[in-house]
Amino acid sequence: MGDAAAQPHPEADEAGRLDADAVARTLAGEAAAFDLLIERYQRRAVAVAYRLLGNIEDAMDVCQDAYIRAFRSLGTLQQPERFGAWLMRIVSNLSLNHRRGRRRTLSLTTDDESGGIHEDQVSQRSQRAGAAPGDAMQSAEAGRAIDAAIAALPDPQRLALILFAVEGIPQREVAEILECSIEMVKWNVFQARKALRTALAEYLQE
Amino acid sequence: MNEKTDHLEQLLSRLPDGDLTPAEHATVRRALADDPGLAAVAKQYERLHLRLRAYRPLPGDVDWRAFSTRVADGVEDEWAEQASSDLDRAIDPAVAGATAPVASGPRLNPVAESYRGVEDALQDWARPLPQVDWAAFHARVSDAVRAEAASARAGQPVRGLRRWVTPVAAAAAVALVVWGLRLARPPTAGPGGSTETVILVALDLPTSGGQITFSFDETPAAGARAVEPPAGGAGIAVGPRHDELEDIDDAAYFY
Repeated sequence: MGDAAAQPHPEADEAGRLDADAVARTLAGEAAAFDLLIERYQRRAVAVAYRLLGNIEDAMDVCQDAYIRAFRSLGTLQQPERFGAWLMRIVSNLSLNHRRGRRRTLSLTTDDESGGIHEDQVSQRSQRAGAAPGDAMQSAEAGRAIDAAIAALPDPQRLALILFAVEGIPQREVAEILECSIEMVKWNVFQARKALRTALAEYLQE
Repeated sequence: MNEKTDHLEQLLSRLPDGDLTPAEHATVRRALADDPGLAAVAKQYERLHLRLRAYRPLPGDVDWRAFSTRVADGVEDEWAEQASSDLDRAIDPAVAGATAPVASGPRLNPVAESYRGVEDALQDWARPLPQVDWAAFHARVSDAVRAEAASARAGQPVRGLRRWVTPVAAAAAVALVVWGLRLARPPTAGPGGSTETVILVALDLPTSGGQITFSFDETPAAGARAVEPPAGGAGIAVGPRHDELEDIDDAAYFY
């Protein structure tokens, strides 16, 4: 487990080569090359921002800002094959900043904090989770409980949890994004899960 | 919870991830066999895993094409914005290639090219003057001036001051340019080892069609003073240094 970073990752290596090529071409003045980078990572970037912010418009604004900041600093990127991790780090940081700013400036209702969850979203979640309609976890209350529990986590734990346990990004990539060791990712994910198991105990019973 | 049970709980929490090693799997199996109560904990983590995988699914109606276009437009705007502030870097191809895409973006290319033209001109400016047969050039100019002067004396009156102001100003500008160029290289040693030089600009009389011919000559100071003023022509002489320009004997050089 601990040597996951040292194991070969052909797909990741190939993606890294493609990224490095796109970065080099962008730096050489080929505007279309950056479009490739946008298309390659936009879904993951928006998904992570959305799960951190709970609002799709905010998530898209943050991601657009992240792309522009990445473009602006592209010449400083030391490892162009790591563009994806670098971009996701920018997205994560901007999302956390946006969230802090929102908390400071707005008087949030519970729905605002959870990103304005609607009943259809709750139903969609339940279907993805394989739960039958009417289960406790399908309720808006349960959804808000999850939002509140995740919101209460320290930033490193919340980020690690969102990236790995929610978004399904491999731990090796999460470690690159968060600029920490894989062991630290595992530890943060575990601490987050343990806190959620306690906070959501009533929703996790049979 | 002690360290051992904490480690065991961590393994239980990772069961749904499917990334336990065979040894870790064996540890979990033994623990579950020894303590049936742990199965409930494992079940809770499995449910939590499913709930987290379903957490905040992206809305299904996201227009990704519109989003990528929006981001690309933002990047394009950034490109243009950077272009205006980073043109200095764009002048230097090495810096431009190493630091930013702003040096050669589609919108920037024409601007960057124009700056490269300026750069080329500056490099030309710094180059040494080409070899010129100044004596031959002066002779040619003097001949032309004399010819024009003769023509003027034959009945073509000079048409007022305006006829002179522009050519003299032009000649002065040329003289200053040449003077500046001369500063970029050591002065030419004149006769007798003198390094003091002046630039002589000879200006022909305007032709009847308004065409002006002027020329400049690099001549050691002593030589310049020996130049016989062409009848009917005009000339400006300046030294290679500002103080020489101020100390110059206008009567000798402006004729």
